[in-house]
This record gives sequence, C-alpha cells and structure tokens, in this order.
Amino acid sequence: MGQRAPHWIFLVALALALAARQAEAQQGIRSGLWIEGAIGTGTIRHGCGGCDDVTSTYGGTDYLRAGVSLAPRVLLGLELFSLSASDVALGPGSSPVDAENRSIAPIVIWYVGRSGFFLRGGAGLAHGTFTVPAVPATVTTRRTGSALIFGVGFDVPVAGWAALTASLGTNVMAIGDVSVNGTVVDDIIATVYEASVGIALR
Amino acid sequence: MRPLLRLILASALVAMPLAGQSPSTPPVRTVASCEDKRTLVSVAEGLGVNLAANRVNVWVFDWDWARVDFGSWSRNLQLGWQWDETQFGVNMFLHPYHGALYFDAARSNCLNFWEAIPITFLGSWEWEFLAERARPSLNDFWMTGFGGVAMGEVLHRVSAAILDERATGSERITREVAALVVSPMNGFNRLMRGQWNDVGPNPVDRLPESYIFRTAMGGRRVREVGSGRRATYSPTLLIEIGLGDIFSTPYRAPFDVINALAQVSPDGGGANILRATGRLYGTELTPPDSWHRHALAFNQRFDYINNPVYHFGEQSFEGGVESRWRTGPGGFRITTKIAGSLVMLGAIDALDAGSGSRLIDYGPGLGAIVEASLERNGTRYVSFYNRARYLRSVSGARADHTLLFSGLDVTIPLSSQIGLGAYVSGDRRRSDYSEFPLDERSYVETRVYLTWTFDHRVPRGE
Repeated sequence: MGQRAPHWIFLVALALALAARQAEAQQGIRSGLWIEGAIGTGTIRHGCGGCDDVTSTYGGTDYLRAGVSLAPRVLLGLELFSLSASDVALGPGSSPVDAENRSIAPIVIWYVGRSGFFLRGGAGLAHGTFTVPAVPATVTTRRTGSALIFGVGFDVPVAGWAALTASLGTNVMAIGDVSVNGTVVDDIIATVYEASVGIALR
Repeated sequence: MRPLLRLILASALVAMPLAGQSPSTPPVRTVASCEDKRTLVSVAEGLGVNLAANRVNVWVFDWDWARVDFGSWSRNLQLGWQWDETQFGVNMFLHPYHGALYFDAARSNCLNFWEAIPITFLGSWEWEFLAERARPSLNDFWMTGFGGVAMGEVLHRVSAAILDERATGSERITREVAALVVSPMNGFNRLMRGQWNDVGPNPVDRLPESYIFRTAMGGRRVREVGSGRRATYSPTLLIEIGLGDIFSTPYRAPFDVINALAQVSPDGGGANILRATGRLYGTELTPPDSWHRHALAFNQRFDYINNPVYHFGEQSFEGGVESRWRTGPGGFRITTKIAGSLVMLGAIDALDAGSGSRLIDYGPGLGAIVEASLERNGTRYVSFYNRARYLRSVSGARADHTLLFSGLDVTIPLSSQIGLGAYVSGDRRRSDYSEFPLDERSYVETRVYLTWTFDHRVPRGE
C-alpha cells in the first residue's frame, strides 16, 4: 500500500451525496452485527522525547472495523487500522525510513441523534515497522505500543443492509524508542490524521 | 493539587447561596426530570472547570506553566503530544479525579455513560492544549480520560445513592452536602437548578438497596524482602464499596456492577490503594436457577498502588468468567473469577531509570487475574487473588516489567456486621531494562483489622 492521490475521495464523496438523496427515508444507524472497510489518505506526524520539532508526511490509509450493537445508538467493535508512508524522518538527524503504522483497538461508536452521524473512540495496541532502504540489504525495526483513537463519521444508507461511510479521525500511536541506523529516537509518538470513505454492511 | 482546588472552589460557591436558605422552608418543588440532555451545558461546564483551575493557578499560585497565551496555544497545536515528567501521584490519581469532574458534569446534565465519555476527553484535550504552556502530555490525556470515566461513574453512582429526593429538612441538607463532596459537579448543578429543596420520586438509577459498604480499620506491616530495610508499621483504613452483583443484577447499563476499594495509611504513604472496577457488559451463561452459575463479564478497571516499595497504576479492560459454586447445605458457596486484561496504559516507577526528572515508565501491557472466595450469606470468610501484569515501556527506560500480586484475606465474623480480619500479600516485580541492571523486588504486607460490613445486596438464605 503506497501513497494515494486523494482526488478520488471527492468523487466518492459526490457519490455519497447522490446516494444520500435516494436514501433519505432509510434508517442511518447500524444495528446487530456489522462490518466496515475503507481506504483513504492521511498525514502522520512523528514527535519524540527531547525533540523541539515534529516531522510530517502523507500516506495511504485503510481500516477494517467489525462489531455488534451494544445499545440502540451505541456500537462496540474492533478496528484494524494501517497507514503507510515513505521517506519519513522519525527525529532530527535520523535516516529517512519507510513507515508502516498499524493499530488494533476495541472501539465504541456513538450515533448522535437519529442521523447517521457518529462519534468514534477507542484504545488499544499500536505497532510500527520502520525500514531503512539500503544497499545491499534493508534494515527493519519493529516496535509495539499504545494507540488512542478518536473520530467522527457519517453513514449514508444505500440499501437496507449497506451504507457508504465517510470518516475523519485521529490515531495517536505511542511507539516508544526506535533505533534507526544506530541512532535511537526516544519515546516516539506518531499522530495520524486521516480521511476515509468505505462501505458498511449491517 | 489542581482538582483539589477545584473541589474547594466549588464548595465555596455552593456555600454562599445555601447560607440564605432554610432547609425546611417551602416552597417545595417537584424534582426536575432528566429527560433533556444538556450537551452544550456539559461542554461549557468542562470549559468552565478548566478556566477556573487555570486562573486559580495563575492568580493564587503564580505558576508560570499556567500563563497561557496565543503563542503557547499555537505551539501546542503545531507540535502535538509528548510525554511529561510529572510525578506518579499527580499523573495517576489527581488527573483521573480531574477527569471525573468533566464526566460528572456530563452525567449530571442527563448524558448517559457513553455520551459522557466524549465530554471527558474533550475537557482533557482543552486542558492539555490550552490551559498549560507545556506541550500537551499524552499520558495525562490518557489518565484524565479513561481514569476520569472510571472514577467519575463510580462517584456519580455513589452520589446518586446518597441523595434522596423524598427527604426534607436537615436530613436532606446533610445528604446534599455529602453528595456534593462525593460528586462536586453534580452537587453544583443541583444547587444551580434549585434541586436541593425539590421533593419528588427518586430516579431509577438510585439503588441504595444494591450497595455493600465494608470498612476495615487496624494495623499494617510492610517489608521489602531482601532489602535489609526494617519493616514499617502504620495504622490503616480500608473502604470498599460494591454496587450490584453479577449474578443478581441483569446487565442494564455500564457500571451497574461496581467494586471500588480505597486504602489509606497515615504515616504509611497516605493513599496506598485506589481501585475501581465497573462492568461494561455482561451476560449469564447458565440459567439463574442452576446449582452452579457462570457469567461472562467485561470490565473497565482503574488501579493506583502507592506503597513504600513501588508505585504502579493502570487503565485497563478485563474480560473473563465469574462463577458461583454452591458447596452443599449451610449456604456456603465459592465464587471464582478468571480473566484476562488489556492494559491500555500502565505506569510503574523505575527508580534507577526513568525519563528526565520523572522516575516512571509508561507502557501498554497484558494481564491475568485469578480470584476465589468462600462466602456465606454475603459474608466473605476467605478470599484469595493472584494478578499478573506485563508492561512494555514506550516512555522512560526501555524495559519489560513483570508484576505478580498475590493476597489472602481471612475474616472471622463476630456478629452479623462486625468481623476480625487478617490479610497477607506478597507482591513481586521484575524489571528487565535494556540499559540498566535487572531490578527484582519483593514486598510483603500484613494487616490485622476489625471490619464492619453493611450489606443490602445478597438476599439472605439465597
């Protein structure tokens, strides 16, 4: 999964709007078992202990969520999230790396009112894979930490069992110390801001 | 200190209008319903709490870190999260209490448990980004948010049990003041809405008949094994509050089953233990009339341990099976619990490591819990627990921490409510650092005490 141009998102957003007109009468809130998948784009910022600045770059995102309804407007689920980015500087003076940031977390989705608008939050584990492209061999470092997830979204029903979903969110991943080419970058916190569109089946 | 200041401030605000009221004088009004969710008021109150705390820290204490301006806001928004170097008690106890104020502001404005969570995190975000000059602290945000939810819901429910909308006169005022101390934001809101004198039916989530209060007072001996240090002795007080019972309370809402424990030892470290567990979801796996019963439960858990040998705290979720085994005639039964834990963020002191001036490591982890107790008619005769925790540090020294907590508690009933108890625990920690020597420590605590139990939960002769 490499970087993706975000222009197609606007086309899908347009499709969402058109679909919304046709689905006005349908219920926008998921119930029972549900599953949702989406792709999108995001920016990732890496901050580190003792660093006076943060580094920032763009990358492609995707996620898969699945769960059950806990109460009439409350869903409980599990989210798998991923962002890939190239030429990421983790800290001052560190070599550029290819970064794959993933998280797995239980989440709660809360529909505000009777529309399809929802808030989303969760906490779980984060995992970072950092690869230094080198000749003749690459060097890969992996670290596991904590993830904290917040976001908003909107379900636009297109059928009784399906909805298009637009999602905005932030994923804060506390990865810890990462060693890149012998340089240790201390206490890394990666913050992802992402926009995605996808499909929810319910 | 900041949450405490807010408590004092709220109490002072409350006292002023109260001075002009007579507790027994009409007009008697009916209790306002809680059908209208006041979301915007909740958000405004969270903002007000932060504004008041920030101004007190500037005007009264002259703290430089509280002198925020547009420059600090811009810098914080631009740079984002970092780990702070504040010490254990502030991060693991006072920040959760701070979060409990936001949460209870929302709960007392008619938002339900789930709806109050975003209000809590929003209040914490405001504080971290806008009320302090220092860069926002991720560990504070975490502890204020999750700890605030756990502590806030416990305080909200205990406060609701203390209040009695049917009471009048001095009893009513006593209850309102006590509830204000437990949940300041609820007391403040009730006062502002003129509910301190309103008479009417109690809300459905007021369940005083579902509580158990257990207190224990006695002596405590603490010793670090192999350290060469002498054992220390101190008086100790324990307060345990339980709401509901996993087998007699069908799941209706989060935290409808609660267990909270606090231990305070003057001359022994002050607040030693603060623990709260609330059921987020549960279902019984066997028919209610089964001889042996089993139930599935998912809990949110808050832990704070501060003893002379080590400090440990965590925000975690646990899931597992609780069972109640009847043992034959006489009403005795054995209750067991086997559960696994996901530690979202834990903290443990790292005395020879740490980060800067902070001697704490933060990290996620996993855990396991095994508990068993022998009970009869609500009286716990013997209980045993074994809890294991693994933390992987993501801030502080690079380390893997393994902890094992074990304890045995024996109570001999002297009457239906009074008992004589003895407790012994053995805790072990192993901290495997990348850059520091291996740190292994063991800690033994012994208590002897008198207990007083007030239990409405278990129907006699069940």
